[in-house]
Amino acid sequence: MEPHLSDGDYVITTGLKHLTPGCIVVIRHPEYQVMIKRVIEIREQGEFLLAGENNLSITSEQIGWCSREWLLGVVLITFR
Amino acid sequence: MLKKLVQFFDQGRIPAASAHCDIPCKIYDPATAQIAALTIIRLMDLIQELDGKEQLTLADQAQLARLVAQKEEHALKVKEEVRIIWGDYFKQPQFEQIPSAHELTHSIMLQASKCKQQITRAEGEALLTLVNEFAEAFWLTKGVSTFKATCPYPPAETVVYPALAE
Repeated sequence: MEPHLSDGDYVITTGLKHLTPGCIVVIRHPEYQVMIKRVIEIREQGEFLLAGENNLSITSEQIGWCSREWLLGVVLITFR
Repeated sequence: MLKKLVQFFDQGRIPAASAHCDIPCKIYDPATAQIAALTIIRLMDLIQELDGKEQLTLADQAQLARLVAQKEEHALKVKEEVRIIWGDYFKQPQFEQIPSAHELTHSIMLQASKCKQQITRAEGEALLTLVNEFAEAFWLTKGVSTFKATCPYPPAETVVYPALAE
């Protein structure tokens, strides 16, 4: 998530599950476990697509469409 | 400031989320760079052996070409391996622990380039000294003590090894 977030940074998340493209979320992915990424697209059914902030990140295709059930929180504040 | 405060209260209690920005294999070891530095010295010795001959046969010339090519390759390997540890493994806590890390890494880059340009053994020895220093620093950040010993193969130079307990 560089340059927005670096290893060791802290975030505070809200339990509210209102998503907008551009927000950063923490999810429990079935394959990648607890991960933090930015929402880039939300489709009508409520599923959303995530992406990293740099070209070293795993791709949106690798992460796949994410279910709202996986959502742990939406990032409100970051401590860098 | 706030981050340090959170860090103080964290003590592993706050769950971590990964960003998967790279494959976090977390496997770092300066041994590869040390072996590459030793190889450079060995190659320099073998080049010197050819220098002792009155005339180089075609086979000798082919051998010289191989030795020089390998010397280049291993100097690049030293640079790459050290850069990866410095760039990927070293973060703020390690830089605080090893304030000379940037300067040491840079001096390894310069010395490895000298080893590419030259065939003087002393340049290879100087590179090994720096890489050993880097290895000592690396193991210090891991909380692992080190010892020096002569490697049991040519060029039989002093190498810093981690004193790993069973």
